[in-house]
Amino acid sequence: MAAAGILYPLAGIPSDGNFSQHNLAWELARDRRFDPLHGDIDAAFKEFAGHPGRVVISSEDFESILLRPEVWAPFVSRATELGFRVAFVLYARPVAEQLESVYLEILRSGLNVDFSSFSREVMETGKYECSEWVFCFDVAAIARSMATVSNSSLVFRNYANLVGGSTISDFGALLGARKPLFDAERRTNTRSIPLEAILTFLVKRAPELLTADRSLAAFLNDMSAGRSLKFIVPLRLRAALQARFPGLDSGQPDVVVKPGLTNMARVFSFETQVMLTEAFHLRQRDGGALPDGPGAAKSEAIVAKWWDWVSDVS
Amino acid sequence: MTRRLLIHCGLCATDAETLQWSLLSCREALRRNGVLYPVAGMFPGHASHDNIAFQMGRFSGYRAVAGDIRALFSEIAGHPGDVVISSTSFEYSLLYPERWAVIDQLAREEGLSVQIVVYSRPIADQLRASFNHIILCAFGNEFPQVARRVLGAGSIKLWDSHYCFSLPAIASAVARVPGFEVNFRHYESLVGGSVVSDFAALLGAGGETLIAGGAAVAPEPSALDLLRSFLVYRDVHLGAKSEQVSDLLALLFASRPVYPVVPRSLAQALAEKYGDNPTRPDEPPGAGGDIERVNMARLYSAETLLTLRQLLRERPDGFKDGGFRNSEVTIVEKWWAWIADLD
Repeated sequence: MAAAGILYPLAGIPSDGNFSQHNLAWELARDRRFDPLHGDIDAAFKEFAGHPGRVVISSEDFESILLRPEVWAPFVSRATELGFRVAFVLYARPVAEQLESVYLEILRSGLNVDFSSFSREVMETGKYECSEWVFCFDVAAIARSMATVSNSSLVFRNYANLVGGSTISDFGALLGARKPLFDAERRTNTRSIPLEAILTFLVKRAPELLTADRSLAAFLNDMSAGRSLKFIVPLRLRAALQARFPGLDSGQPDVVVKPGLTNMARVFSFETQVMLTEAFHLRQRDGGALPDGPGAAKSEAIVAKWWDWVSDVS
Repeated sequence: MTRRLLIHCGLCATDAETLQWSLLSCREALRRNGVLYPVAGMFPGHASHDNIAFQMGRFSGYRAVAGDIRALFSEIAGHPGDVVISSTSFEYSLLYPERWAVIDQLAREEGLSVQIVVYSRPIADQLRASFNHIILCAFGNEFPQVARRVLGAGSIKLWDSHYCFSLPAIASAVARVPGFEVNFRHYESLVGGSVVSDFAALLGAGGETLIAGGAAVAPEPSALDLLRSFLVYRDVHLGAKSEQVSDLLALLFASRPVYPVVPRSLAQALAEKYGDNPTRPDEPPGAGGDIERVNMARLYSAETLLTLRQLLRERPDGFKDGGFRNSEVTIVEKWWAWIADLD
């Protein structure tokens, strides 16, 4: 990038294995993780000031302030004084996909809300707020908000229709690179595998289920043996989301319902917590792994009922 | 006369725990006077029906073993008089009429009319008290963020907890449950001067036994304890240094006890939004002249965290050896002047 005249500053990159300017986003968002030791906005502008070409900064945590243009105004004004034109670049995806992805991410980060509460808040407000994080699902609201930041522009990129098939090549194209700017190892977010996500959900909601012998994990493994588990946002909710937040077209055909899909709103629900906790306790009372007592039979019946219930993706 | 199911919902920081312990300790006497305070839905060592509220709200804290809504109505069945249940976690469902459907149906089957009882206080007071609760619940949010949401949305949602500040919004939501009525009680004009005596008046004939056996009101947590919790919950790394944090706070507040108050401009804005009286002075309870009022929005803020973290970093060996060093005095004095600005 430096060879192409583009600066990717070091100020604002937390030292513990990070590679993006999260600390700048945290400072603007008043996020609790902000620490001046990682380089603050003053330090970043010092780094920008000596660079004659373009500058790129990046953090997904900038999302938390996309609906707060007043926070951006001083930042943009300062950049303008240095002679920069500021462009905000956002990669957006179809809202149901984004909902699924964000939910699994916040679950992994420690939040224990059920999927229905999460999706309800998104449907009602177009966003989900958690501590200092704000996840935005309404691209029109983002556009309206950021349009009020003077001397800046906003560029939406469609995650479902990327130049070269990845955000890396797409971003390179955006920068006008004739040849690939990035030949480093491609890094992608690893998503939770389904059983791990269910385990996390249950343990976050009922911490006493986490025992040293990991018997809950074994129970979930056993009950899923021979089954496929692929999460999907229920179809009615998908349609409602698409109607409420038309956003960007995926350019892909509608979801084809096939065996093995499981309804996220049911998998990550209060009912799942109650049913699987009961089934787990019944089996534990019967001696754990040996499914030969009356408790085990009841446990299996509950699990079978649960599978039927979560397989309804309508 | 129709039997009533009184559902006491808080709000947060209106002496609910005192009322609940009073109700539980007077349970037998109340029953003899025709009022049932059931035990289904209570966790061991608690006096409130939190598990019922958790089940209604589909909250993670629900545990079947503590008794569910069916168990509650089994206990209620056949009782000839009024029934009282209480949990501050009912507050979190006040804006969701659909969550009350099961209670509504079972109460009808039992021939009970439902009255939602809500104690509220002046809005700035309520914000102050709710924020203290939020600190102790380990959310670690700074006060300006909470205040901004209260001013904007009239409520604040933190995980399962949904703190309500708009009484019209509560009234409007409860009105959507057929047969429910809501009884707002104002914390500053209570019958007999306390929530216990006020609730006793609400109960009518059976209430006198409640006043006689009322529990003592729990003291408010100190500003120092709250600030320690705020810092440690907001910065996970400070948890490992909790002794140094305590020493630093002891040094800061040793000769300057403080009482955090809602800043004047915010109190004014809240009063305009919610129709309260903004001129009431926010005084420490039982105040002496030596307690200094400080600005909550600054005390519980990102800036305070950064300032105190800076002091802690400069003194990895702690603050046990007496006062601040010269280099630290400037930082401390600047911070004190900043939090003392009540505007």
